[in-house]
Amino acid sequence: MSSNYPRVDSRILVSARRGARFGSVLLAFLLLSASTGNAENRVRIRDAEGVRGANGVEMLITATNDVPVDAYSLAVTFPANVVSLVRFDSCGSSVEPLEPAFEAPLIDNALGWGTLAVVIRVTELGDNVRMEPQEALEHPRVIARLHFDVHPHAREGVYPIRLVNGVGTRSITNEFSNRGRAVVPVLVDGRLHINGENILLLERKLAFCDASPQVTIRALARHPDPLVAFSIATSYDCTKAVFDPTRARIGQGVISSAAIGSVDRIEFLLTDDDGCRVRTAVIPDSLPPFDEPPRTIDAHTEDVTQILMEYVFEPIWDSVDCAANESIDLRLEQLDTPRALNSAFVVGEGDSIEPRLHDGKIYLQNGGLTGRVLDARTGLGLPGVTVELEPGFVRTETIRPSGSFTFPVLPPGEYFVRFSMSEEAREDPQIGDFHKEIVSEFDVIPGAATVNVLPDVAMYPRSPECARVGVFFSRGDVSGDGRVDIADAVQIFQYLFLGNDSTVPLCFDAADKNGNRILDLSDGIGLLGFLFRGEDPPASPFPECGISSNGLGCEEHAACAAAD
Amino acid sequence: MFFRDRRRHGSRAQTRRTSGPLFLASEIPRGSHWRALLVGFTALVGLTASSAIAGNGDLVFLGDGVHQDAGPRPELIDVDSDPSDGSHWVLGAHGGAERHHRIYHIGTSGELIGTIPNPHPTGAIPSNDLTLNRGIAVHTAFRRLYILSNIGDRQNRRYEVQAVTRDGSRAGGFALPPEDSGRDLHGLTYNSLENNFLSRDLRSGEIVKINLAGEVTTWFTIPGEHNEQAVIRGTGLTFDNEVQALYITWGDVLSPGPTKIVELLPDGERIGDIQFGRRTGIEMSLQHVPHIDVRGISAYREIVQNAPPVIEGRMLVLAERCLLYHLEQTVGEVVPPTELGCTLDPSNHVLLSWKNNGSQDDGTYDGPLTVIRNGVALASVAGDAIEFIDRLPVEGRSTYAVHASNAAGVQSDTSCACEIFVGIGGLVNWAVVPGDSVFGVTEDPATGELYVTDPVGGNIHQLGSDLEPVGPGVFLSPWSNPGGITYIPSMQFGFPPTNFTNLLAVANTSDNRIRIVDLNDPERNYITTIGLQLPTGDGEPAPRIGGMTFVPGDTSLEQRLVVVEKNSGQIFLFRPNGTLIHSCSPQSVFFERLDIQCGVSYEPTKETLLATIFDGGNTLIREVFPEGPAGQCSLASDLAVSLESLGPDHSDDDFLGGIQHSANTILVTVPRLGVIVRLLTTVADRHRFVRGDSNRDGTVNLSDPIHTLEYLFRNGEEMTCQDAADANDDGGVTISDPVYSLYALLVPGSDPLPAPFPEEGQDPSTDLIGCAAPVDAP
Repeated sequence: MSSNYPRVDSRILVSARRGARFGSVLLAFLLLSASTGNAENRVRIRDAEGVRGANGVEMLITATNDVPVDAYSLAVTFPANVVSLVRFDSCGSSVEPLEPAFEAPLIDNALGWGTLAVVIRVTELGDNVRMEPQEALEHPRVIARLHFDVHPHAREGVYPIRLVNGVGTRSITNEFSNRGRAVVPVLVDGRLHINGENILLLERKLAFCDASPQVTIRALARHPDPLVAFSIATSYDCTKAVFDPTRARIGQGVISSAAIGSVDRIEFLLTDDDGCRVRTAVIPDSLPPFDEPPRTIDAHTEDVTQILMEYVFEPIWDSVDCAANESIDLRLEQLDTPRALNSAFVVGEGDSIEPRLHDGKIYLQNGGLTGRVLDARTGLGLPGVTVELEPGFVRTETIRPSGSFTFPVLPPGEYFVRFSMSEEAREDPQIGDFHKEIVSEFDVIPGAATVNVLPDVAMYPRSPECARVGVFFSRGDVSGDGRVDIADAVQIFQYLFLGNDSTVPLCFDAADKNGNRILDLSDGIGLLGFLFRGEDPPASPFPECGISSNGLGCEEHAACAAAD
Repeated sequence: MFFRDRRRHGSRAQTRRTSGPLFLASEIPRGSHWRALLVGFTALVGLTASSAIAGNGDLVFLGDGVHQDAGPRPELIDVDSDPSDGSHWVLGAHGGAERHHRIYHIGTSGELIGTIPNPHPTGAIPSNDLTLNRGIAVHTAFRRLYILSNIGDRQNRRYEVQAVTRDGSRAGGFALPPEDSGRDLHGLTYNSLENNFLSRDLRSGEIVKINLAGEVTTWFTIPGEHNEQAVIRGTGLTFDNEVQALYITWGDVLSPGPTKIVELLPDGERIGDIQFGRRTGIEMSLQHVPHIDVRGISAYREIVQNAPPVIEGRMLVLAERCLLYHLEQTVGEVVPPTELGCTLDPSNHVLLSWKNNGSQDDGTYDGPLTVIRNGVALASVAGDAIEFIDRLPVEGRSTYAVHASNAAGVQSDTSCACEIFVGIGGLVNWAVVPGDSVFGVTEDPATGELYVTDPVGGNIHQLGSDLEPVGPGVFLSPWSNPGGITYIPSMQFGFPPTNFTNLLAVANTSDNRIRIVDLNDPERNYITTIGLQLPTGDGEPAPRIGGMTFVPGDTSLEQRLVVVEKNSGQIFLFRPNGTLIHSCSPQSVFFERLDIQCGVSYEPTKETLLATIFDGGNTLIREVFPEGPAGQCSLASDLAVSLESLGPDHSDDDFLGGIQHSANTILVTVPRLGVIVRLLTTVADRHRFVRGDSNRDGTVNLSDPIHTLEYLFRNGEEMTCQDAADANDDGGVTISDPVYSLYALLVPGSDPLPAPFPEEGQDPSTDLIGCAAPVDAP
């Protein structure tokens, strides 16, 4: 089995209030468990996040069931003008080890729906393998996975990925089958967050007496295009904190030098104490694109976030009642002053973009932390997982067999929790290979003595080797020689007009240049247009190799087979 | 009069907003259509007004709270817009009280500018001499308001049009001729080209012209099913003087209210002396106007203060509860399909049909069309398709729509949706019955011809199985007030007994007598009269026959006449000579009393009765067994035909007239709407099959579940016998069926396949999947 296992980007924000809420939820679950003992029949699509142009954005479909399940069918809809569904299967799910006897995905990217049928197994000996019922508190199992390609020009937003009954002309429903009796589960839709905009995130922090002698506030960014300049104009509440310009880090001081370049770099830091305003302007050679969502994590993880500047403030403690444990809420407000230097990203030959502002959200706290780590496929506790808190690098290990962990006392601060599989556990054949880290973040509000309970963290294998559906090909490369050239267009015309066996493409999907599932003159002409007139390139998959689950068919594609 | 031809103009992309006059009569953009985008609405409250016009397509909902401090709302009836200043004039509904009679002047932002008095009489008017306001029109040349009202006492109603200036001064008027007092006029709008007014006669379905001398002429008849009882829903009309087109509210008799506004031109089909109008295909959904009672409509132009200013087309819709909705006209690059209709066929398939408005001469689109079911894309069809069959619709209420695309992939807006009820009780077809009224219905099973009673006109109408008139179409009833009716293939009368065939038994609506009509000799009117021995209690009203049906006799069963007595709601079984055999009432179910209504029909295949039953909350058609324990009609099956597809009034206890079993459907008359409808009870294709034999090769083996899986999930070949594939007999074909088959075949101790298995037979279950004849069947 491949060692390519997941990293789950679930952000978990925990506060004392949240801790109490989770505690309530846990209590409710316990009561529910005591009263019923069984899970409800439920199918849910888990939320996911992707960027424009991303391939293979994964969404999990999880299920709980209180009856044995021999088979299930799933029917989903998605916005066809935003994403294409490229894969819909049980690969890497809790069902995969059961070796389903029948599995059939059906995808229609023109209409925006996909269905999946899985018959686990029914044998004449009666030892049918099936999904056994679950207890109420068991973690949902992954029963299928969706992989989407996000269209390059998709607009940023939150799009529903829905479980809908009656999909397609066969009216496929979402259904569990228990010995051939239909069980209708509760359906919970998922959301796909498409990112891709220019984002400026200004952090916000709470400062506490004795615990926060100084507060660092940063500006984090996302910019899909290279920046040739940027400016950040902010104001702050100077009755609560004093800005220290000597400790500010901007431009090269905070962005890695390799990225920012060194020639003709210009940096400005303008302060206006009376108006409590600070402006930063940086003109680097070029700042390479950074298309990851901003993350409010500390400097030692700079590789996963883009920091444009860092200001240091000294809180004015006279402004709060320390005895009452009051805090100072320190934040930067973006300025929008006419005919002045405001926040802007400059791209290309001087085009100014006003980045969208995200508010940072920070909490500080004290208290403890406890939680469980589960195997997403089985819902059972996962032993041998190392749990680390940052900053501070406190670590512990999950306790077999429940997968639980506890940090009894934590000082005030902002923490991120990281889950990873230890080397020993990974090599233990009875545990398996869960080696990739999971990063979550959490907070605890000061003064709250409650122990924070993290929601269960589920780890699961990511993209293990599974039997592939279809043959990999690259659209436009009709001959399968690894190149798209005039010979490919000629082969399309030869097939259309000569019609002898020697001209029949081995991969019709590759010849279907525009991907409309019709091989005709427009494909040959379109390919010539792309090659010689700069017209639209072949439809996806191009130039990379991919599969089509409902195309014209592909018997063989030599170049993609070789690359595989 | 010149009317434009939209098809003369080539397709070209239009922006939604254009500067300058938007629509000149000679230059209408080909892609113009109403997208029914709700711009905002105004709540007119008492003498104050709250308003919100978003201007950007956002829905602004003021909610009910706005009227809490503003007193009761006035009753309003019509609206027209004043192009000189963009304001609107709203007319009160009647002269019963001052606030219900006034004319309200509304500004461009929805604010109340002021009110002026209605020139028609008001105040302390006796209730039987009430002014009923019908329409208001702004005469742009005279700068006056004209108000059409129906006035006079109950026996002497007449129409008058009075004029006022904008400050409320009376400015003359005229009366309509007495011969037009029988019309049911609603709405008033001004046609500047001909300098006359237009109104809508709901009684005849006509659009009439009214000139300034008060002369009334018929312009054209609204196309579509129509008679006095079955009006096209809604009363609104407005004439757009810039595009020279008429708009009316539209919704068929079974819809709860108007569902859209359609554009009409007068140059439609001429049948005999009747000139029908023509639907141009431009229509506006009223989905954002969630009110059954839409009063008036007004087309106007909104000047949007951009730089340069732009003019946008708008439609103002006056709904009940004093709400004014502003809808926006859009000019799209691709016009969506229009006139979308959806019907159910006897096999429980949904048939969609529509009109294309693509760039090609015949309306074909250059790109594909997408069929949408319940908001989810269902299928893609070629750009020239004008129909689609959904062979596996979702049971219950479903909504269908279509959108189109051009060669560049630009999508149109979605068409106006059509809604349909799928499954048992689904509406297969319907028609307005000619004549004055409708009550009983019966069918000649040999020919499929129907006979429908008209209790007001005293006639019996003859319809084909398609519900259209056939043969002579109508003949005189043996009663002046015919009610229940049933077809009798043969029966003996007289002494010595003489056998008659091809008969109708017709009851009247006021007593216990029936008359026998010989269809071979309809001129004879009737053969005999039979008085049914319906019991009468002391002090109780005389018994009356409601519905009626005939049970043909055979060697084991004697002929019977079955009637429902109207007062008691009991079922009575009689011998042909009128002597009583048995009576019964349906049993209560879960303490819910079941009341029999008039509808009753014999179901020959099961030898049961279908009866209309009101259970306290719903009117349903159920199957009863009339000859069980004394006095009790037990329910014979779980069949329950919902009448939900017949609109919002279907639960009323007097909603239905007669019912008639007809193969796998049931015919139902709805006196209130003047229509006859055919509802689905089971699917048509019910051939014999072996349960589990999905591929119909004569044996049930592993290939059958695989065949079902391939059909469902790999687009395998069409399933000709869904019943056979429905291995668990739950009424649907899903993944559970092949699994059920696998268990039955492979796992000892599993439940066996339900009947018919292993021998071939018919499906014993009432469901909505069927079984077509095998391909190689003779």
